[in-house]
Amino acid sequence: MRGGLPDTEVFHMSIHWRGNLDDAYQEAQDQGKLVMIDLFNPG
Amino acid sequence: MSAVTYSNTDVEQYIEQHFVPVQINVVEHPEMPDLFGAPWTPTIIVEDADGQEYRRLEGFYDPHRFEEELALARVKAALDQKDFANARNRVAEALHFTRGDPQREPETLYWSAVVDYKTSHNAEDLKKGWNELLQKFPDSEWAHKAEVIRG
Repeated sequence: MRGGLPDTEVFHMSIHWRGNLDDAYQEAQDQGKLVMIDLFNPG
Repeated sequence: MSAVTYSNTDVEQYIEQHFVPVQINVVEHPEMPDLFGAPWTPTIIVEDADGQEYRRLEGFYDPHRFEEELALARVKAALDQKDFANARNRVAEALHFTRGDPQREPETLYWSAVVDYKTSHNAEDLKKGWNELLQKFPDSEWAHKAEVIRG
């Protein structure tokens, strides 16, 4: 598990992109889901 | 990915139903590629809550191929967690997505046979499934993995 990302929560294309890795892992744990991490370069 | 794949309604619903999506801008967070061992963008990584990785994608995927990949990630997660009842359901889901795809249906058939075997503990189920794979996609990488049953 890798954390440390500052909170940058956004809604984009109707997908609720979480911005905090630690919270995402916790949410995945609570809901029995998998975390999908998209590393992207906006340029 | 945003313009084509993430804007697809089916993809959006599939992600919202089964995943917790996190988007990381590597320009704003230049330390993240090293943290994930991911030097290229876009890179999509599917992990469980403990950080166990099940699938890693590099580059663009169109909506259908992306759904196939996510479905296979869910299959692999259930298998690795030895949740074979869940894996069976997820294999059925993955077959729905990958049917007719010469690259991904073989992988689905491979894991489907494993799930059958792990559920029944009958090696014949493994042989039956892998033989189907060998007949249907004899030149696929996954068929080569299944060739071991020919002894």
